[in-house]
Amino acid sequence: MTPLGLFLLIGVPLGAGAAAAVLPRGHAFGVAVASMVSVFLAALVTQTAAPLAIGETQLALTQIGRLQLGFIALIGLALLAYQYLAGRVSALAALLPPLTASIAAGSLFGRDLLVAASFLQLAALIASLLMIGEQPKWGAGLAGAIYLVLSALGGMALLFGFVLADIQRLSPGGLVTLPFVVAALTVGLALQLGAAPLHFWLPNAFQRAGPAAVTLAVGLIGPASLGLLLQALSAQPQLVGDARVNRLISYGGLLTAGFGALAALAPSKPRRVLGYLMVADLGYVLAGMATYTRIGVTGAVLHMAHRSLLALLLVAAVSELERENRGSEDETAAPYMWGTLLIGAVSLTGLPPLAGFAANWAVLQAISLTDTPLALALAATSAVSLVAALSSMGRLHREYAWPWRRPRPTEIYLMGLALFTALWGLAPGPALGAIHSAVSQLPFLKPF
Amino acid sequence: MNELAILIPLVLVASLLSISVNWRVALASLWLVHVLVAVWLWSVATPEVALAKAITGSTVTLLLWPNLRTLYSGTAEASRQTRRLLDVHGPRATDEPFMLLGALLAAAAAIALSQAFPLVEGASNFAWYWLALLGLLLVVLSRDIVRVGLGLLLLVNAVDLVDTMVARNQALFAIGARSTVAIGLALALGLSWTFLQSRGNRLAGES
Repeated sequence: MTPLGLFLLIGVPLGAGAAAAVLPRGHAFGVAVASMVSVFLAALVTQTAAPLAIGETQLALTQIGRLQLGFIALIGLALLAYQYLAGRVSALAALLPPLTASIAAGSLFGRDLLVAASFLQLAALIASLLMIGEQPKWGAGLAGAIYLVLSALGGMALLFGFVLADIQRLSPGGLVTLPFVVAALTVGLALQLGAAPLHFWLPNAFQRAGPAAVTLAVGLIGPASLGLLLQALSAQPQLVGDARVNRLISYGGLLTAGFGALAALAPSKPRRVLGYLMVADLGYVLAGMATYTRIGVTGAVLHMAHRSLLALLLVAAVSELERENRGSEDETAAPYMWGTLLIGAVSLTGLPPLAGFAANWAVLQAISLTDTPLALALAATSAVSLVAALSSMGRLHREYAWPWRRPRPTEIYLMGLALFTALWGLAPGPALGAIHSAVSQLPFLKPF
Repeated sequence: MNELAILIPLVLVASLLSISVNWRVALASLWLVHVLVAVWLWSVATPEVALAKAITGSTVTLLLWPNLRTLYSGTAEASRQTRRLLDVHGPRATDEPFMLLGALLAAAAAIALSQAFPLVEGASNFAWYWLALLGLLLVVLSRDIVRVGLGLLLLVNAVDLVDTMVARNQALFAIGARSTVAIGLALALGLSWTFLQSRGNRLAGES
């Protein structure tokens, strides 16, 4: 890490957030875009930098940390572009840069996990603030308050887990055992990510909250939480030592996938169904991580990136569809957003040859090497998710009179995003290669 | 300093926080909890950590005060309306006598746990066990989101205490990060209460 990198990573976004809070809408978005570009550049320019010492603290970015920050900056840019094109007025431009700075600050403290977890908690607090204030409805505020409480509880469980990990490291044969530490950390991460049975905020946020806040909570805090987990396991590799605990986490992933898929089958509002599909999808991330193999962790990271993109796509498309349905009668309805939603939902469930399958495949391959029944069960949950997604999309379909109207700029943007999200899996090499190379440097992985 | 001289007021003040129905008493109790934890930290850790805790507690209280005053000012009917709007679990989730019973049970559990399962060796574990259990009790059982928030702030104190007992010499970054989280949490809680109330009132006015 260099002073310039630190400035680009933390200083610029903090300044941009403050400036965006007082500038008019167009300028505020411009400043926020500049801050995301700055974070992306910082991830590039610090590639070969040595750790930066401030007092007794060493600040450094690992390769996976750089990848994570670069991805978060890109998702931030995609979200800002959607919000700008859709003409939405929210505090996103002011809150996104400090949120990104907070995630970046956390990833710099590789060894000091309590500080890293504190910064992640701060980022989740910022996301919850946006969720509370983005939509004018009381229900949206309530969804934000629920996310605030549960993510804060998750953050607290993580902090407590890291304290326990310290105690366990200092006195290995003492009262604090490894399963106890892992249990506390698992509860914290499950609350942050929305894993069953601690998933309550996720379907609620999808149903009631605004698109920007949901994208921040799922698409930015999600990868940041996974990044913190990788940081923690790198600093304390003894946490992956208990095979029984790892197996339990794998089955926790299956439980999450199964529960989410079955809950998505229940007749409900389409937004809520999408929320449960997201819960189901998280099962792959958990199961992939719990293998602690190179291919499994690569699959989990790739999956997390894919679901982040889809969170933005799905929640934006459903918001635009609702906006169209609320619109004036004299404007002809067109199936652009319905089609976008369909592509996104099917891609989320991992139907070949769409990109979701590429993200699922690495995880299934890693699990099948040690536990084939688990891999088969996980694949079966994808089939259930697909049925739930198609059934929900079928309920959303209405008659669209030909000729269709010309698509709006927001719709063109979202259709382009849907195509990219669905088709990147046809050539997964670059994404898989970059993640695999970064994951290979993690010290806690088992040999393939 | 005698540990009991800090622990007894801490137990009393935290109990008062968990059962009080008056927002002024609850807020004053929250501030006192922070101050007593700061005094405790002064005796077991460094003065810097204690000072940071006292400043954080005062800032948290100052941030929450205007929000709570806005929430509960006005007529009795307005206060009832506010309570309805801030309900998360529904109206019959718990009652004040039940909270008192819960606080007593938490105290008994904290005493038992600190003796049977002292996580931090060579230190009194009761204080953080007590704050953590009381905080969890408030989060899980409270009917409204204001008290859920106060429970979260108690939990922050509990995590702070146990961490300081494990690593007595805290780095500046660690103190700063945790203080920022506590202040950020108070800010987010205060804003969420005010937003929920103002939107709920608008909803009630429209219907």
